Amino acid sequence: MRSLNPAFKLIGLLAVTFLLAARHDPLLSLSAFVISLIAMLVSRVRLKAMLLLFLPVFLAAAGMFFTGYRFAAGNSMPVRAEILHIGSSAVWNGLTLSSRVLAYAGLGLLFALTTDRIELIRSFQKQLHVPAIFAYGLLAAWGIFPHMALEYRRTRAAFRARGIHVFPMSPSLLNPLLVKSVRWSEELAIAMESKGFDGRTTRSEFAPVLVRTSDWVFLAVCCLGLPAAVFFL
Amino acid sequence: MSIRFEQLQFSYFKDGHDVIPGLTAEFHASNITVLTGVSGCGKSTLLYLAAGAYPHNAGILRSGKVTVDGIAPAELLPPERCRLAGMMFQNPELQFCMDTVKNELVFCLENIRTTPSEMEPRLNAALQFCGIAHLKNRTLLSLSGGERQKVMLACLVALQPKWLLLDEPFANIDDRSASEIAEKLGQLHQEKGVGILAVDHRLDNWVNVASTVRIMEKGRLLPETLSPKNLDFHHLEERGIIVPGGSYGVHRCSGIAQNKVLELRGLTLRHGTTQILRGITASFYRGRAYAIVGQSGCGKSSLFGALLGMYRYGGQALLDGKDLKKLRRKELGHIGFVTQNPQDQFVGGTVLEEILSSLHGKAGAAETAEKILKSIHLWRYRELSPYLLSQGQQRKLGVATLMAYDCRVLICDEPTYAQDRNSTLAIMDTLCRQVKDHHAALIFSTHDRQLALDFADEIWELEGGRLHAVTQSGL
Amino acid sequence: MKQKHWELKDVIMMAILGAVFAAVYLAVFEGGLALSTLLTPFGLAPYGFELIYGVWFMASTLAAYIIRKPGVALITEVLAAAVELLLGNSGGMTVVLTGVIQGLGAELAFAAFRYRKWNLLSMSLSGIFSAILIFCFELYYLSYYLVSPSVLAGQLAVRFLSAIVFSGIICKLAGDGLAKTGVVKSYAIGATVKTARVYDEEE
Ligand SMILES: Nc1ncnc2c1ncn2[C@@H]1O[C@H](COP(=O)(O)OP(=O)(O)OP(=O)(O)O)[C@@H](O)[C@H]1O
Ligand SMILES: Nc1ncnc2c1ncn2[C@@H]1O[C@H](COP(=O)(O)OP(=O)(O)OP(=O)(O)O)[C@@H](O)[C@H]1O
Ligand SMILES: [Mg+2]
Ligand SMILES: [Mg+2]
Repeated sequence: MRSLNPAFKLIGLLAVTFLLAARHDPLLSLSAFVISLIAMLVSRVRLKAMLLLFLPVFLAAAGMFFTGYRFAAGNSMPVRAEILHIGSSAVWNGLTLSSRVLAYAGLGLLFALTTDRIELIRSFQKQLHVPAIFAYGLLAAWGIFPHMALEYRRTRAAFRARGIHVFPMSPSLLNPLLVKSVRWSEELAIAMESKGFDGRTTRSEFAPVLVRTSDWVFLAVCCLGLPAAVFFL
Repeated sequence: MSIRFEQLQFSYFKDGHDVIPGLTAEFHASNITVLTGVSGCGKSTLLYLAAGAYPHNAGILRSGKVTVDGIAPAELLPPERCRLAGMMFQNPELQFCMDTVKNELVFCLENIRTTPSEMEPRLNAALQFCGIAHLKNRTLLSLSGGERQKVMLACLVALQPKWLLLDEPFANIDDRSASEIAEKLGQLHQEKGVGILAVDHRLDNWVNVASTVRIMEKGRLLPETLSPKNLDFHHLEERGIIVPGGSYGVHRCSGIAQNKVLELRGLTLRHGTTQILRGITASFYRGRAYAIVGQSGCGKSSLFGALLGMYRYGGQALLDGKDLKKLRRKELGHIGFVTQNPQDQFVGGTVLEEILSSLHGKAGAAETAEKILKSIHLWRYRELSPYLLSQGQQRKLGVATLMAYDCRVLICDEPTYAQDRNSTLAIMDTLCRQVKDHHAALIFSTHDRQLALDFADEIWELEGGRLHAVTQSGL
Repeated sequence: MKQKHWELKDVIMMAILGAVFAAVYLAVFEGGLALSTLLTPFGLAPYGFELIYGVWFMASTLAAYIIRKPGVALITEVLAAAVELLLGNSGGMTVVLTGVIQGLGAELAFAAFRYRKWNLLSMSLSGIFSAILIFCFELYYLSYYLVSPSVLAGQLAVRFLSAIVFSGIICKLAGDGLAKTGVVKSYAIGATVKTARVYDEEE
């Protein structure tokens, strides 16, 4: 997965997501989830990162299951439930909802964990013709993210050092964060411009992101192959 | 070849006073000029104007014009502008938009349309020049303040501008690296003819390199040009400027050492896989001042960060015999902090709220806050966000918040960087008063050896992840 | 208001605000989970997330309130979604789509006022429009139609409320608060809200 062109990978995985959305089929969703797990393992994603990220996903999936289970509007049962003999309609209902959460998350994380963000931005610009100003603006903001976690801890520590107790997500904690983000955008913009970034004029490329045959194959499989297979099976 | 300011009038607010009220000056590329002056007088603002970043990004240019080599930088597109004048900013954080040092340099070179095959050698040369080849693949987030400043310089070197505008380039760098870089800048100036205009409060590092020193006062330039080789120390001191090699006058805070207040027992800390602190054992007593010195990146901020509860650490830190990790929140308020970057500690929306927040619930808070702000000359900025103050003013505000409440331990990370002489004295006086009057223990880190000599009772050096005492003469 | 070209600082501001609120949302999400669990004994679990749903619309509304250019609400929401995707959000790839949809809703509200009104009404409306659009989408996409209509109606009502509170009231307060301290004076909002001043004399 890592060697695929990021833009192509994004489009391909999006296509798969839409396919799953069009078919309300828990088995299909579950298999998509399992396949993305396997793909992640094959691409040597660190196991710890995976576990950490999937924990909330499982919780959300469980929540979804019970929502579907309890509040089933009895009449909209897919017929195939009887064929497969999976319990009552409520269980099926819950399963539909929760398997879908799993599949979406699986595909999303597969993308997030196997894509280098600098590559992604470069490929956005090159293959999808996203204007440089948005591509790099996004990159700069994304670079702020780890800062923000750090900043959050710093602000908490600053409050604590003054003997003021604040709750984890209280407004007094968020306000400095907001002010900082406004200041950051100004300072970052000045810094980027002073390094010659314009956003409108052309730039040279250190290592252009290429499109290879394998990318086209991947795209074809995702956008054409899978829908066809699902349709005929 | 010169930077010219003609009748320049600049303000940050439409109805506010002018930060620069009509300034005319010329700086020649044949000189290395150092600009100095008290905190908040408008030095950084002037550099931003010369770099063409203002008034496009902030403020209003009421009249006058700025030209660099005859061209108005604000009218150029960024790729051309950065070839004309490259600026290094005062705040070493948030100057980068990529993830690693190498990618950041690549980003710079791409902007000016360097051909790809040329990039690698050029960025390597720039890293080599700044002595940070070993940081090439590090993530920017994990660098210490001084390391970041060097990376920023490397970016400028890679862009090869005609002019270098440097705002406190050595503020977070230890003396040795600072004089190394100053020397290299001199080399750049001589060999490539790069014009250099630098803002600095300390002239030490420039003595052998710079050819002129100019003093700024309230948005105006004083007419005299000084030569760094034969400075009139008395004149400088009068103007509030730190004199190279001069002492601050010994102001040792202390009196009698009292009971032990903070004890570190085998403190260890690692960032990722690198071990930063390898077992720090030390005791700090009330009523005494301790200076911690050490090279840039040796782990001073990390040590303080651990005590502040920012990083996880091994070993023990005891406050009055009780483990810091187990203390209740209220009691943590007994350690007062000034962080290396003043912006890290602001909690209030305005300057006034910033002070009030540490006076919370005390009687007469409003009056006390007014008194404190007036004493550091920030009362007029009370409605402003702390983030809009100049770097030096931010630092002063950070220290002032410590005055507002009493702590047993004061931990200050480079409390006087980017300060003029008078503010340095004022800040250290404030801190010493806390030591004397409230018998607090003061622990401060600094790159200014003179400061350590003049104010600390004990000097410790952090080296190789361990702390050891140095004698006054050994420094 | 005429469309000027995008400035780098506008773009970064939109993206950062998006990122901040993405982070806030992720944190609040945990809170929502807890809330749902808490409400389960009362049979009110489905309302847990609805209560905080408004947080999700905050980025676009606040950015639009500060920058005041056409397109800000939409782009902010999309950028926020992109940041979230990069973060590894549990919604997966769909966040991009939901970003577009919510952004469109918010944008629609400001456009209805021809980008002239920037007040509590237009801001609340932007939240509500987002809520409606995203709800229609979820109806189909998450197969919410499997859930009974009365519960759905309740959910929608709570979501509206949440939209008004978060993207209307709280965003307005936050924006005005920022403007008062002078940090956003170089944006369009700075021209309308009275900003801080520096006094001439020390005394
Ligand atoms: N979050 C982090 N992750 C990884 N490495 C880090 C992190 N923070 C700091 N470091 C590294 O740890 C070392 C010590 O950093 P620290 O900021 O404590 O240095 P310092 O002594 O305060 O330096 P300076 O005088 O430049 O401020 C540096 O080499 C730095 O690159
Ligand atoms: N973005 C801003 N918005 C409003 N006021 C500002 C802004 N930046 C600076 N100022 C004000 O302009 C004045 C000059 O600031 P400047 O940063 O140029 O000072 P300086 O000489 O560089 O000081 P220092 O040595 O402390 O860095 C200060 O009073 C500061 O409060
Ligand atoms: Mg300055
Ligand atoms: Mg440090």
